[in-house]
Amino acid sequence: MDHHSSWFHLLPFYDRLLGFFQNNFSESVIFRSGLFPKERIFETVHHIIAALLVVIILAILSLMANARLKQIEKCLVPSPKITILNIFEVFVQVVISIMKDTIGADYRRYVPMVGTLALFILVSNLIGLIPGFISPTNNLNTTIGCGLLVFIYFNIHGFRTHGIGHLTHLANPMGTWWGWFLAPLFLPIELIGLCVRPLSLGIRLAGNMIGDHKVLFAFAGLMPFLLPLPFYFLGLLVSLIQTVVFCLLTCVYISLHTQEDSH
Amino acid sequence: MIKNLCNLNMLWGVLYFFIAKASLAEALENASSNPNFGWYAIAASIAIGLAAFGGALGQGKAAASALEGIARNPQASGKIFVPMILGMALIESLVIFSLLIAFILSGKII
Repeated sequence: MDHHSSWFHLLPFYDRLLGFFQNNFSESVIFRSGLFPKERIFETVHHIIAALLVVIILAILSLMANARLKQIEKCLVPSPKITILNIFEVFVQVVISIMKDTIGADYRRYVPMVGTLALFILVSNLIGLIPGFISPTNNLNTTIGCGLLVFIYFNIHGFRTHGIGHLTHLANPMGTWWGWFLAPLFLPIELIGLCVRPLSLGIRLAGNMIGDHKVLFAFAGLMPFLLPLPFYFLGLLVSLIQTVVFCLLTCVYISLHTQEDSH
Repeated sequence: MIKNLCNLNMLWGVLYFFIAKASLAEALENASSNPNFGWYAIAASIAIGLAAFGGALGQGKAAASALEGIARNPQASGKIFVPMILGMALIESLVIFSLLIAFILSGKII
């Protein structure tokens, strides 16, 4: 993947930030871009600043929607035009319907985490389609970070619901007294299955975004006039679907670990 | 018959042959410093080829059963569509894992 320039080069402090990271951290493993061993860390600084940009955009939009919500008389009847409030309402409706189908009755306490993740991932994916911007989910660091968040979250809720039963469910999923003899076989497999979940979530998201951007660049380099148009459509579709898949898998993992004793 | 032999398309074929010969000679002498350069290329192509083949089979089966369900009951198409998309994305994620390996391997050629 080449080092392509973006709008972030126009920021005044960008060159000094790049120089600082390259001089001090260029041999460290953590700051490498992740896929190609010869690449240094220019890409990583892009993605941190891009993530900051996404957060700033989301904060501004949310404040606008909140200001409109405060005027209660005006928003009792939803307006027929496309306003910022209507977009957020559609989004929240979709996320809540996904959560209600998978988690069941107790879904309200998980809405903040899943909703925030969904908003962040959706806007990050969509921003990469605009020429000149970089999506933060293009990088493995961001997406595995989101996966680790989900991992910590469903583990916390598993321990909250079942106590130490969260771990004994892994060793003895069936709950019988003779299941304990099979526990040395079950426990490694279930532990590996549990710990691979954040990695698979992160790699799925990053891989889809990287592949999508590569295809877009390849066809835009071939003929920039009209040829990339179906690939932009594909990019929109992939961004949306990957957000839905991420949130659905998060809800499935939460529901797996917080369902009350059903046997 | 002489007109067939001097067909203009055959001249294009002759031109392509010489271009391919030149590029092959250039590729042969431009071996990279890594002695396993050729193996990485073959491995990357086989990886992504097999992954695309298996992924297409799996997604084809998913789409086939979704379409059959819609054909039996056209009113349920909204309820069938979302699980179909979800299933396809999960099948595709395995193909994406193999694509990343192919990217890593093709990065080693450089």
